[in-house]
Amino acid sequence: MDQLETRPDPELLRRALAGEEAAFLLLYQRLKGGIYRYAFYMTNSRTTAEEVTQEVFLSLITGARHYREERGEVAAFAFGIARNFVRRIVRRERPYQPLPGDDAVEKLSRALAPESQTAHGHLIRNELVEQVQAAIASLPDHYRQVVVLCDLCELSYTEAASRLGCPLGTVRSRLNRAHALLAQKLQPLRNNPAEIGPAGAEGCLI
Amino acid sequence: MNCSELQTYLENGPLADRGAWVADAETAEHLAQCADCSRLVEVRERLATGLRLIRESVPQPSGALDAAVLDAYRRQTTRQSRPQRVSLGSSTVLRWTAAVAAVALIVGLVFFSGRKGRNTAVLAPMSQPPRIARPLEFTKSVPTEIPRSRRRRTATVPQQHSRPAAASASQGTSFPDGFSSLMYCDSLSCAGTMDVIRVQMPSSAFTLPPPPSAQNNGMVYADVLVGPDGIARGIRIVQ
Repeated sequence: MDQLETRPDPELLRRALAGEEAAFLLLYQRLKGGIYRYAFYMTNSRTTAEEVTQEVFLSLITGARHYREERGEVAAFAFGIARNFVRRIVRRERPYQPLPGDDAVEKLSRALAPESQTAHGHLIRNELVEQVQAAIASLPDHYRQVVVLCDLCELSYTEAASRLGCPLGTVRSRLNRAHALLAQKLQPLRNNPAEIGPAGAEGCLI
Repeated sequence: MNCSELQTYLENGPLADRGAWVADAETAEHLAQCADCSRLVEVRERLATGLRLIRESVPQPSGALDAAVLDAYRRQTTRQSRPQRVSLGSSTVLRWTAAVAAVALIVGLVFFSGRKGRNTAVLAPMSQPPRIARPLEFTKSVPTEIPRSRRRRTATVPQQHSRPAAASASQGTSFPDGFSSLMYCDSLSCAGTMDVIRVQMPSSAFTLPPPPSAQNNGMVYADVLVGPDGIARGIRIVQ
């Protein structure tokens, strides 16, 4: 076997289509992490992320004739498939997703309290994660895409622009705007702990 | 540094931890004095922390995913190598067969419809009533110079086939030997095939004295040249 590791993705895809399993496995190892993380960040579900990853690679094999090397990388092509799958799943499951409400705000406010004041640092960290995820999920789709790609998948602006098929400046401006929106969503929580704590305790009848 | 400059820097700069802000003395001094900017920096710091925690908390895909993807790949390659080629070939053959059948059907329809029209054209004159010498008494057709097969053929398909000798003879103003003209005849009016029919008629029909062949009852035999329109062109007394 010649050195597959040095081969570019398009060649691996061609050889995988020709039935070379080793080429497919190498291509899978290269692309799996990014696609899985993207799907997980977009859906917040491990099961859904695995489902999307599996469907993406199956579609990559069955629909490889649509891939044009001159149009972009195989990773971008696979990402496009993943994005379509994620959109379909999100649309399908949207009616069953709970909307972030006051309870979420309260949780995040507690999560943002200094760790020295609580004995449940680990729990707070988890709650912080949940609440930032909820804030990201509440963003409009085009802002959420750039946050997931640049902040969570750690792609460069250029790579994100390639995946999304939009100019580099658009990615930068969308990311800045998304950060501002996220900060805006998190900002009221800073003032809440002092109000929420006593009010909750004093208002409790039992 | 004032609030506007700091907010512009925050909006356009990357998310960073507090250390990045405090490292700049001028920014740290402003943050110490301005509660709004300090709160803004803190929120963004929290956001950066939350994003970092999310990055670190992503679960690894299970081993079942790898197995499922590999299994799907193997099934797909097996399907591609075997039945799909067959189905591709069979679909191509099916398409060509359908195309050939359609063409054959169209050709057959055109052919049979044309043939049907031609048959009606042939049968039409045959269905007409006898057109010659209806008031006369028929005896039998006697070929004169016309071969028997040719004559029969011209009798069924009068205008669409080659003309018999009698017809060609009648194209001019002259008739075959012994025939007398009953009407003006030229290449236009006497075009087409002619039949020779022997009839029996009374000798009184002739203005001339009865020929020697006249029978005792005063009847004579005559050959009549009949055109395709049923009109007699010429007549000859059979001696």
